Amino acid sequence: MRRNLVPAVFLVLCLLGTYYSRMGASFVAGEIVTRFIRDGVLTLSLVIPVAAGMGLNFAMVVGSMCAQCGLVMAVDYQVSGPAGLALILAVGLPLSILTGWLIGLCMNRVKGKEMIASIIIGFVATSVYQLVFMTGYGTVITPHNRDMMLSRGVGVRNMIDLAPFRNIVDRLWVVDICGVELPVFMILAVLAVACAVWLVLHSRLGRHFRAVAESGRKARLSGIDVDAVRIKAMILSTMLACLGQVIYAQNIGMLNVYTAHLNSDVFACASLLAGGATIYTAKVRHALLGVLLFHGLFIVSPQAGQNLFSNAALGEYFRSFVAYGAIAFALIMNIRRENLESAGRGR
Amino acid sequence: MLRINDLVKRYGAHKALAGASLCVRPGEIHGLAGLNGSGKTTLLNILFGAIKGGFEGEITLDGRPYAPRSPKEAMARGVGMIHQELSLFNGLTVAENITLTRESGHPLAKRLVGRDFCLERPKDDRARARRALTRLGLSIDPDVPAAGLSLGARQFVEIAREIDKTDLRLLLLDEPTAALSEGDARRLLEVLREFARAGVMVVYVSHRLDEMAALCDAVTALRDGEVAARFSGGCSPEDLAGVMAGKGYSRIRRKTGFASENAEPALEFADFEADAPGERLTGVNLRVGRGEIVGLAGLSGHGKLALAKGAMGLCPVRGELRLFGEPVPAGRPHEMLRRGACLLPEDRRTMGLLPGHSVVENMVLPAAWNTGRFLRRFPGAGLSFLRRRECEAFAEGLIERLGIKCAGPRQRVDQLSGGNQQKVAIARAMALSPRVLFACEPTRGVDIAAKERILALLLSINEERGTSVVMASSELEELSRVCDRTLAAHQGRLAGTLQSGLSERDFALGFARIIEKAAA
Repeated sequence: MRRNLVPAVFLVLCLLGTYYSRMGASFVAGEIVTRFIRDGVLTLSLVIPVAAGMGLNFAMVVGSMCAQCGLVMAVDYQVSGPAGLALILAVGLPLSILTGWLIGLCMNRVKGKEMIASIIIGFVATSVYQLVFMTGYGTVITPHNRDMMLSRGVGVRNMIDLAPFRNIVDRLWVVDICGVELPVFMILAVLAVACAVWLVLHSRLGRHFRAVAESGRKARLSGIDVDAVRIKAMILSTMLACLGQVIYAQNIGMLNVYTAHLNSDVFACASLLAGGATIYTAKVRHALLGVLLFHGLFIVSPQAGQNLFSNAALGEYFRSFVAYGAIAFALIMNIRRENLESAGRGR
Repeated sequence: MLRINDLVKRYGAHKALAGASLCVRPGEIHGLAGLNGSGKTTLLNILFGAIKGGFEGEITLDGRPYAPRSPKEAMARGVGMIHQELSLFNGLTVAENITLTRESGHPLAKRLVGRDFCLERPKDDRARARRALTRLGLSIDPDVPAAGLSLGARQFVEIAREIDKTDLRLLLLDEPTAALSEGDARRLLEVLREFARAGVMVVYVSHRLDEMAALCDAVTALRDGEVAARFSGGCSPEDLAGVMAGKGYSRIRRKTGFASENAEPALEFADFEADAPGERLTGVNLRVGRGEIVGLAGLSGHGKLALAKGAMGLCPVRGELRLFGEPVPAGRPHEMLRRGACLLPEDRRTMGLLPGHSVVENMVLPAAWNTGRFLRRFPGAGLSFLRRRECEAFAEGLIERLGIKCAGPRQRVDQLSGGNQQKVAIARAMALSPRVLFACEPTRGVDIAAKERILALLLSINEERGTSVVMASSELEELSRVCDRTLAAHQGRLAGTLQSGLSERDFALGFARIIEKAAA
């Protein structure tokens, strides 16, 4: 019971929210399916670092930025359709491997304080990234697509239309069930990534993640290269975040160049925690369940807040309250549970 | 063949090893004897690549030069090690622990996705684990998590891990029997002989000298990082003890007739029950007189450690406890300290000391917090400053008196060796000037010289201040020498009493008889 307390509370809040928002069940279901596809992979990218004992990887925003670099390049060179998608991944994934390796190196220097370090790394990377697109484009980098540039010729526009990629994979194999559109291909794609993460956790590397998470000292004495294992965890996480952001952006169809990645870490962490994960243990099912619960609440809470308090501004406020409240609540409840369980074990 | 020539390891100006040489032939069990801080563990850690910062000197293994920079490199050369602090992972199952880093995987998958991403094959791992455990004569289920195993079983799982290595050439053991019962220890030594028969070189470190004398083909005794003596063929425990200590050491004994249980009571337990994790003691009716030293004997897990924890309020209790005639509220360690009771816990690293703090801070802080000693009084105790100079003078005095080997009172306590840490913990208790002292395993993991010193200290605290001491220990021999009377704990109850004045042999026999009677 205690194990499922956090997800249960979220479920109850979701149901209450749906009731008070007076939204149709089919509308909410459709929205949740969309959010599941949009945010599923981003949330899954957090599972591996937790399993490797590095806590929530807020530096996953760096992976999102790698994806956005790929997207801007594809728009710049005006490559559309599947070829464009290939270009995005060909730019984004190697870049995320490189940045993941660098983040891993940093993380190995701050063992025990990974979470706060990853938050700051995310901030620093955002500044560097924004600098590149604000002043690098049009000066050092020659743009090929004038439409995406600011009128003064230097710097990329705030908003880029991703029309050539909009829903490029979303519309494959869509089935209509009782008025809810189910993009079967994308759902399968997210589940396939989930499967891949599960497989990694049950591979040789996965066992090493668990060993390193329990004790770096013992792992070293067992003949495991602890630093290398942790770097691998960060690389995998950053790559998944990159893939997740590509799916996210093409689903939205617009790219907010400077800010699109900013909330991806907070929402992904909130989702994972809502699913019952902690900063010490996370499983694939926590990520999948958490995306459904957190985004379900996220969809209905503004409308519910507005209906309950008849104030439109309050509804919007409700949203950020839910996001950060979810993180705080889930963190406290889950860690409390973990402490109780370890006390119960008597060691 | 392992050859070590003139090995030197420096830590700053201090030499942990100062030119040690050693030679181990295939199939030989080689003992390393020495006091705490003589360099035994350093030597093993160098051989296992677990020490950072390099070393001087030359090592060859099977004719090739050998200088491992990590345990991974050492393992690649067929070196395995069993550590003093157990290195099993609680979160992994027994099978996963045994096969860690040598996991089974499908050969085709290995080629396709690389070794790292190769799926685990629990069935193969389980079979291998079972094979290794069977060779040890154990019937542990390979699927249970290591967290639930007893200390002895964990030690054997580590041995099973070494058995599972097909390329093992050199096995290093650091105090493998420290946590084992006698029967388990005997079985472990038998396994080591089997390893040797198969041609594996075994290097064996232990404080149990009789064990070493019986087991080893050759023994090297270290003193201050140098080889003090070599024995090949037989040697007696007395030979070893003499060489290790360097000069004659004497075994201290309690003066008889010093205190009796008929003295005014310091502690009175009535139907007392303490539920410490892994140790439970019920139905205690006991009076400890002022100035009396009461021993608690028993096997691990049978409750001898629970009494102290329960009395200090560190675990749930039932029943009544009176301290100097006044009832004591349960679960209030602070209150117990204030009334003059003090605990010397068995696990000094996690419960006894503040590892990141200096020697002087460890000695004085509990006294400052609880009794106001060493404080420059200021309105509101929380705002008071420490009287630094007085603290350091106090610490220096005790460092001298207890013979603590350290660079000075400001050295961090986690940089000291185990025996010296224990002495700091005793100094901490002395700063509190306790009227009742609970000592749990006060000599666990320390060498013979340090042990005598610690026992002498406990006696002198008792004799100078009339402090009552309740001492729980798994070493009958030391209880027989120090205590006025010793109670034997068996299966969570106090099963009988052993009087002082018996010879060590009679004492051990008496204990065995009590246990047998209680079990029947």
